[in-house]
Amino acid sequence: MSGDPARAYVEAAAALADLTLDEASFVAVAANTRILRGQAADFVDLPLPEGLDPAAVLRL
Amino acid sequence: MKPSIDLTAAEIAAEVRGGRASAQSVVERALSVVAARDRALNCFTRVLPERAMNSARSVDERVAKGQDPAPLAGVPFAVKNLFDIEGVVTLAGSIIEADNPAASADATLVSRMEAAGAVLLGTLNMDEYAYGFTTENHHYGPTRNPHDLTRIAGGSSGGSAAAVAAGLAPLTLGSDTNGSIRVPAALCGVYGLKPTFGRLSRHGTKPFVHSLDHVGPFARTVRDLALIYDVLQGHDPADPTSADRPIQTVSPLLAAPCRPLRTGWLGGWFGENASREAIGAVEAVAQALRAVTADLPGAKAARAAAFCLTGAEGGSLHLQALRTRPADFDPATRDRLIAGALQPAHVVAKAQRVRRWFLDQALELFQQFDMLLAPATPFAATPIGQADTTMNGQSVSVRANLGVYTQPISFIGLPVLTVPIVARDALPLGVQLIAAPWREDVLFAAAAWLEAQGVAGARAPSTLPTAPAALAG
Repeated sequence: MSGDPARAYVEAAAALADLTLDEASFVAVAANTRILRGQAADFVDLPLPEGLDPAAVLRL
Repeated sequence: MKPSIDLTAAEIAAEVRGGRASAQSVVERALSVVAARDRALNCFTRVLPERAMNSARSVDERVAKGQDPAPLAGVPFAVKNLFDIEGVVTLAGSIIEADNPAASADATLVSRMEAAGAVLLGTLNMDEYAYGFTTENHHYGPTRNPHDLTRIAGGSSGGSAAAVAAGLAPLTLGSDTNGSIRVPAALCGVYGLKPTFGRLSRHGTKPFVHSLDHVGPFARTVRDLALIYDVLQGHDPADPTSADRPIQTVSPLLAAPCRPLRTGWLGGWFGENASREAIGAVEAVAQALRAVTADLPGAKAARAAAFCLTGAEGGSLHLQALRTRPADFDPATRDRLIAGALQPAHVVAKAQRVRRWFLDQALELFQQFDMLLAPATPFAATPIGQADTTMNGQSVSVRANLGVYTQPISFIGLPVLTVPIVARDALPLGVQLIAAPWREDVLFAAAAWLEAQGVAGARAPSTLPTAPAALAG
């Protein structure tokens, strides 16, 4: 396991998803994972009202 | 008759319906323009001359028999290559799909166009699996911007926007998951419509992100955009997301005076990091419409949630091919899809909840406003092959940032009409006119008024410095 959380995550998650990555792809996927984690940080802790039903979003 | 490149769809239909031009002559001319000019542009991935001439002949036969040849009689059109066309393999910008059997039927919207008398010329270039904003396709080459052939057309419906801008076809169809109609429409200086989620049938199109995918048209005038939108509408039981609502015909609205609209100019996220030119484009529209500033809370979170959801759904859709044929993807697409597919479930679930919450914020804002304004892109078309650009003094990825202003809006399915703002000696930019769900009528009325006032409007690429010599083909 790498000391880099994104690399470690990709290594474990790719194995669980039956994905085989060559070194170049592994580095690029880890870089994209860092970007996604950065984006996720912008909303995962956002406080939202109780009872919000996401299923209704596609019925405009 | 003027050369077909100069005619709008409305003018072509009037000539053909009136018996002053044959559909076959229009289509022959269009095919010759494509043959001469597309070598420089790379809009088309496949031209279908036999099918086009057969369709044109059928239109002419209807005219000769005195039958109504329908509103788009003889009007050439083309579609992004993720729309099914009977007998043609649907590529979706990939080489993996090229091994599939040909489509057994046309996509619903292709059928509706042909039922309206329009004539399909062929299929158009796009980013691989619609995952991109530049149409620098790894397998089929980049589509070039007709206003400057060294620059990107935008994406992922880059072929669709560039073909209209260059006069290869007056009408095209594309798709928009996060901005893929609005971004290329802006960069190529044409009109693009991303309707309300569920308004237009997606049946027979290759999906990218099921819960975010929309389809819609491009045109060089508001009248043409209205003509095509009117024939595309209608419930389609074959598409489970198609809304069973009455058709909202917008063409008649264009002649009526535009009632005063309560217009909000979105600040915050939608003003941050935009170039001076992009801000200037929105300002011109805002002043014309006497817009006041408006705030849509949560746009940054919405954009981020759309970004993550796109990766998750898109990656999940292609997971099997990512396992078995990784070398056949564009590496940049593949590695983003894999990263997206590997995201934790709690991120995806939270993104969906943010979506519901952000829609509520927008619906509340539409209690105060009829229409909202935002830039379509933060900057104009960048050079082909240039990965980064400068935003707010910082070097950022072109691909990741072209959709920053479009992504939050498609995330919640609102209708958006992008109007082109083409200043003299400048690259085109676009402004998003955004309405409440199902209020495309508001957008068409406003766009027609802006066009009539000279605030918005497409301009022929030949008026710009770098296009004519290269386009002469």
